[in-house]
Amino acid sequence: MDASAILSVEELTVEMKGKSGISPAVRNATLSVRSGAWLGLVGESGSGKSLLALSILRLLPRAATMVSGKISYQGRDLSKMKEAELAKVRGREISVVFQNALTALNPLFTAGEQVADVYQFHQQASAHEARERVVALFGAMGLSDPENTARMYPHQLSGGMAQRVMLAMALICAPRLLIADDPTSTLDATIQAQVLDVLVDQVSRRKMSMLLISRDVRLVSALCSTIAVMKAGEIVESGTVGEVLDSPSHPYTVQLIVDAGIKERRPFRRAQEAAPR
Amino acid sequence: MNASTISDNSTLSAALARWRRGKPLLLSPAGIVLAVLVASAILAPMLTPYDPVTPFPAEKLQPPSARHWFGTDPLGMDVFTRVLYATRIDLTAAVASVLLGILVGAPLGALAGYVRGWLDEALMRMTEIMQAFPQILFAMAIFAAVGSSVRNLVLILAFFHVPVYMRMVRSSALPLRESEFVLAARCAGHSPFSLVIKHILPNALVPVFSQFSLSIAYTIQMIAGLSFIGLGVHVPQAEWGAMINLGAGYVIFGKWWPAFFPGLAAFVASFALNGLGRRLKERLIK
Repeated sequence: MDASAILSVEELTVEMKGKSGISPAVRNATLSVRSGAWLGLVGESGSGKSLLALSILRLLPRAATMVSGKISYQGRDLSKMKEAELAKVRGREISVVFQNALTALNPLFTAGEQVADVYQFHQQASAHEARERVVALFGAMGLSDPENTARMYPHQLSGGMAQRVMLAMALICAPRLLIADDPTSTLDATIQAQVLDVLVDQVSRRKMSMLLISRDVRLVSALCSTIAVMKAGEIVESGTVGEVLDSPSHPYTVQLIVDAGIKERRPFRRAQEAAPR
Repeated sequence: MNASTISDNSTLSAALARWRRGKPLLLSPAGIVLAVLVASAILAPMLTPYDPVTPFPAEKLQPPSARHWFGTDPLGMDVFTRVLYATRIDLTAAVASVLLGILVGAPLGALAGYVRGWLDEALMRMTEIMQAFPQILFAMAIFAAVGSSVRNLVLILAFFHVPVYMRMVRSSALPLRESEFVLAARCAGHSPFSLVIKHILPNALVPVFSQFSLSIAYTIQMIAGLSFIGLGVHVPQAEWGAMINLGAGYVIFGKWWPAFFPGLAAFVASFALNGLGRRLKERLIK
């Protein structure tokens, strides 16, 4: 095992119970995220990449079970941890940002309340202190009127605003690792770029590690230092972005690269300083 | 991953949005009738010069007249006055028992729906046992054991409501359990307790609001029924069922008014509450 890894997943197998019986959704998946580095996990929808991400924090849906494998975060085995201990890791050391931010917020509480809530129970802060933190962080997320946004209910937010709120919720306790599950795919192209900019800026500024899950090879190759390609529940290829893109060994990877229209790799402007190789 | 998203129609925010678009329910016929009932119960001392519980044997069984709009009963008490005062007991006891039932049933239902497993099984079997009791018989047995009073009446009726609301909230908590915001809340490290109380329960309350009014209508009939057979509220306390009981024996002698008017009041109240419940359901659950 790689000693410099903040997160490593070894031989993970997840099974789904369906009408037609049990089928493996993730098979023998192994990957590791090095401390401070960004790993991109690419694959088409249904390839099992989200299930893999959810199994890291043991948040699998009822129909799915982790059958075998080991998930270690900074030397601790998350798959054997007690629920109460795990609750302290979730949101505080490892955070998750989902695809659809609008449905990821509780419709009955304001954006500010929900984010402050997370800060309060992880840091034992006073309500007032938590509120101030939230407003400051909303500002850092590029929300133009943070005070006002904090008072808004989810149905009053646009998709871009909601994703910034979710990002604030993920970052408020200063976690070490962010799992971003296709965080911009439900947004318009222009908003996508803005939100991505904030995400990249904030995560690199905090020197956090990231597992970026995406269908977009172009995006992943621009941001991440290493890449893993997933197909039908298996990781078919992984390595540094250079290795994988320049000399892909699996036909599926070749297909993905061709489909994405990548001819010449140009590193994303922040990727270099953010993700040491 | 496309986690099963719950249909947007069933969320409380969608229900609230539909609510705001509609006309105020108080302006519906059922709403007006209820408002009049409640107002007359509150203003009863100003609407009638008589006392509801002081017998006046000299004027017993007088037919409806300008002096006694609904006539007088076998003890000489003014029926109109008693019908008004009875609204207080009937509505308060009904509302109190339903609220108590929700207070106990809803959180248990949310818990059962969220944790599933053996606790869910145990709680659901418990509701089945509770619902298997014949209600009147059960009430009679309890009253025989602990004595008959309005407080005990409310407690027994609440006992009947608990399983109803438990099952209702559980079934709307089940899809919420798999919803994205609950998943996101778990990701953020919420404890199971705060998940159930903050994220599951409030969002599972939509059907409870629409059932509320129907439950009260049903409970008014239960209260009247139990008091009619002499359980719960006793003569001379003014209560519709007890009043019907008091007047029932005189109907065959042509003195219909002491039983008819409280019966009419109970009917109108239940009818209006059912109408309101139907409207609530249409408005909140699409």
